Parts: sequence; C-alpha cells; structure tokens
Amino acid sequence: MTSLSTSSLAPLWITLSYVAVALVIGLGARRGRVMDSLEEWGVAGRSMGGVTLYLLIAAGSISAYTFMGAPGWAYSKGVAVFYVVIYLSYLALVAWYCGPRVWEFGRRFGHVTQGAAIADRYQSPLLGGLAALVMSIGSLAYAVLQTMGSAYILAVMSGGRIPVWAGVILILAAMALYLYVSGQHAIGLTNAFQGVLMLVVAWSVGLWSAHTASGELGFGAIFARLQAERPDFLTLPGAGGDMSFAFWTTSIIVSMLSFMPPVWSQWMSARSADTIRRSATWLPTYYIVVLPMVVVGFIGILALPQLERADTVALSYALGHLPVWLVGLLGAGTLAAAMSSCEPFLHSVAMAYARDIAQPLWRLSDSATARLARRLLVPIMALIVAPVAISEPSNLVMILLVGLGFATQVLPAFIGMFVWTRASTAGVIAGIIAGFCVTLAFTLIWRNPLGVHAGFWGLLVNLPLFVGVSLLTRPVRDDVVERFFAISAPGRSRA
Amino acid sequence: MKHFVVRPRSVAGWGLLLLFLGLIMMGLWPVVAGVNRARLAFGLPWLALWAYAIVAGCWLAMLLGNRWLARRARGDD
Repeated sequence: MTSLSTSSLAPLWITLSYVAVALVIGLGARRGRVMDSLEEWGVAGRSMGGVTLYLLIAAGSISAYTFMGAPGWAYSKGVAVFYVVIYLSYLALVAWYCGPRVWEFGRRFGHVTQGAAIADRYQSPLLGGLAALVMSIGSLAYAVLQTMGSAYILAVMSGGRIPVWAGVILILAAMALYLYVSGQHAIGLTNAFQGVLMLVVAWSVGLWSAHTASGELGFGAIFARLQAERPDFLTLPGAGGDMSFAFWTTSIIVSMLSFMPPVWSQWMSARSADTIRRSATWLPTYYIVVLPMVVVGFIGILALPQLERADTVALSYALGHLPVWLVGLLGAGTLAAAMSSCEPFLHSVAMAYARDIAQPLWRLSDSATARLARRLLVPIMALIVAPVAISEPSNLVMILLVGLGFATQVLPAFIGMFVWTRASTAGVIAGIIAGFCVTLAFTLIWRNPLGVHAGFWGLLVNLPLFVGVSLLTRPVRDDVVERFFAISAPGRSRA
Repeated sequence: MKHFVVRPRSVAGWGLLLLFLGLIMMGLWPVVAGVNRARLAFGLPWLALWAYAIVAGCWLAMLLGNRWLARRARGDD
C-alpha cells in the first residue's frame, strides 16, 4: 500500500503505545456505570463538563485530514487549504446557537439521536428513519476513510510489517472494545486525550520542520521563500487553479450547514445547555492545530517537489528530516486524529440503526434498543467497515462526498426545528429528495457546474421547494410545534 | 397557531445576529477577494492571517454573546 517506510521500530512502538493508552482510557471511562440505556451509553447520561466537551467536539472535528490531507492540500493547492479553518469556526457559531436548543430538546423530550428529534418534530418515524439511514451512508464512508488512514499509518510506522488488513483489524478491535464497554463516555475521554496529543504533536512537528527547513523557529522564512519562488501558492485559485472564489465560498457554506449525527450526540452529552455554549465559544481556539501541519505541506513544496501523492507530504518530510521519536509521535498524532473522528461516527450509526430504524419497525423496548445498539457495533465494523477499508475502494471519496452532500440536504428539517414554525413534513421530504438528487447528479455526472459545490446546487433547489411545499401542505400539529418552539424561541411559541 | 420565523427580539439580539452574519461574510467572496494577494504579514500569507482573524472574531463574538445572555438572565436587558 505504501512506498514510505522506516527501518527503525521506535516509531512503531510509540504509535502502538498510543493505541494502548487510548484503550486503557476508553475501557476505564465506564467507571462502574451501568450501560443498559441509550441515555448512558449513547449520550453519557448528559453529564459531560465543559473541558471534556470542548476536547470531544474539537478532536472529533479534526480527522486524519488535518495530518495528511491538509498538508497535502497546502502542497498541491496552497493557501486554499485555510477554508477548513474558516468553516470549522463557523461550525462553532452553529454549535453555540443550535447546541443548547438540541440539548434542551433531548432533556425534555428524551431524544438521544438526531433521527429521533426529526421523527418527533415532524411526527413521522418514516422521516426520522429515512434521515438516519441516508445520513449513515456518509457516516460509514467517513469511518472507512479514517480506518484506512489508521491502517496506512501503522503500515508506514512498522516499515510494512503490519499489513493493511491487520492494521484495520487492530484499530477497529481497539475501538470496538472501548466503545462497547463505555460508549459515549469512552469517546469523551479518549477524544480529550487525543485532542491534547494532536495539539502537542502538530506544533512539535511543525516547529521542528520549520527549524530544519529554514533554521528559524517560526514560519516567516518559509513563506518569504515561497513568496519569492512560488507566489501562486499564496493566493486563490491556488497552484492547481482549481479553488475558485465560487468553490471556496460554496464549500464553506455547504460544510457549515452540515449537521452530522455525531455532533448532535456530542451536544446532547453536555451537562447543561450553558456547558455547550461555553465549549463552543472556545472551540475556535483549538483550530490553531491546523496551522503547523499545513506549514509542513508548504515546506514540502520546496523540499519534496516530486512527490507522487500529495497527502503523504507530512510523513515523507518527517521520515526524511525528523528524529525517529518525533516520527513516532507524528504516527501517534495522525492515528489519534483518525480514531477520534472515526469512533463518534461508528457509535452514532449503531445508535441510529437501533433507535431510529429497528425500534419503530419492530416496536422494541428502550432497554432492548440499547442492547441492540451496543451489539450492532461489531457487525457494523466486521461486515461493513473492515471489508470496505481492506479493499481500499477507489470511489470511496466519491461516496463520502455524496454522503456529506446529503447531510447538507437535511437542512430543511433543522430549519423547521430552529427557525420556521410552518415547515411541514411533506415540505421537508420534498426538499431533501430534490436536493439529494441534484447533489448526486452534480457529484457523479456533471461535477460542480460553474465551479459551484454540488451540495450548494442541491440547496438552491431544495430550499425553495421546501418552502413552497410546506406552504401548500398541512403543517405539523400545533401542540408539537409549540413544544419545540417553546425551546427554540422562548416567549414566542404562542401567538 | 400563528406561524412565524424566529428572529431576535432586542437590539442586543439583532446586534449579535449582525455580528455573526458579518463574520460569515468575512470568509466568503467578495470580501475574501480583497485579501487574495501574494503578500505576507507577521510572517504569514494574507489569506492565512485573514482566516485566523475570522477564528479570533468568532471566539470574541461568542464571548460577547455569553456576556449578553448572562446579562439577560439577570434581567439587565
């Protein structure tokens, strides 16, 4: 799978030590709690404090992309990569506004999943199940990509001694163990550990690389050289010419409006609505983690001009120029980034299948649903994630793009929860289906017409249709709408 | 029931909404075209510095929002 490798075993041991520590923390997170309800296993009994929640959301949003993809984007496109920092900050604004409301919905109405909230607001288990099912496509594709990234890191760090299939099994087995035993508590504590580790590793690698490349303990000399030799990397549309203002703008808007299910679970795991607000407030400060890794990508433009794969630039530079202990830490940091964003997706898919699909379909009790959610983890990993990750499909990124494009198309369902009381079930379904079809067509057949993100085209069709159909069809029962808007717009729910 | 679109109900609420929208506009075209130059400031490309100015702006806006909510909860607003 990889031509990169190291002959020393030290990086491998450092990376494996990280896995062992994550496993111990994850298993210990249970602390004697009984995990027989979705309240406990799914949303940690709504008990998480501000710091844990901050690191949970922050680490969850920083995937292997930050350690591999983002330096790769800097290497191949230049400053276009900073759109990620901007949309992550906007997601914090969304969390600040919507998170406390979602938490209150969950506390008062007993929701533990996004699909349950949708089903309740629109009085339609079908819509809740449909949203959960299709959201799971993007979630699973995301989890598979992160698992592949993890296995790749293990393969590189072991000098090829750990083949991809073994790396996939090792990583999934570790996550399955602590997710089964401790659920969202494990995600909270392991993400807290992973979040701190990533911050330390990213800045250590970035500063060391900068010092190696320029003799300075800062980034100024690197950018000054780029300005003189390759100024095209310092502006849009970037060196590849493919990040136009239209794509930049619409990518940020589409990413900002994607309400992925794990984020929903994270908000509902907070101790209070105020805890979410405080965590969201400080969330942007975490995104300084992106800068040093991106700088390694910029260093690669000058130091490694002939790389075949842009996303290997950070690893390639580290293997050639950094001490083995730092290479090992980079492996651990990259693995932490991959696992911290993979496990919430696996957990949320198991919950969604059990709570939003199986429970209404077979009228399961709450305790049977909770047992099913935990047990579904293993088949989801063994029958879907592992085989797909081992086969390394070439079109997985495409599946992921379609899945994330769909996530944005669920926006009308959330407008009807937070903004507009008149949103009807038929309006939401019409908007989602139309938006999804357009996104699908503009991802698979005619990619991003006029340089505009496919998901944005989907929204342009989705939102007017949603409003029009909602106005023409029967609204949801008054008592249900009033119940939700007593939280979303206190004091205004009765007119 | 009489249906409605949720909107702020105080001057401070409108101010916060406009601040959030202003921050979002800062990251999009056409504003971002204004900083799209191959120049450096504080050792970073303009666009990178602009991105982190937006990060800082979001953080400060939410801090401001928290203060406003706390004042509202105390009944000062």
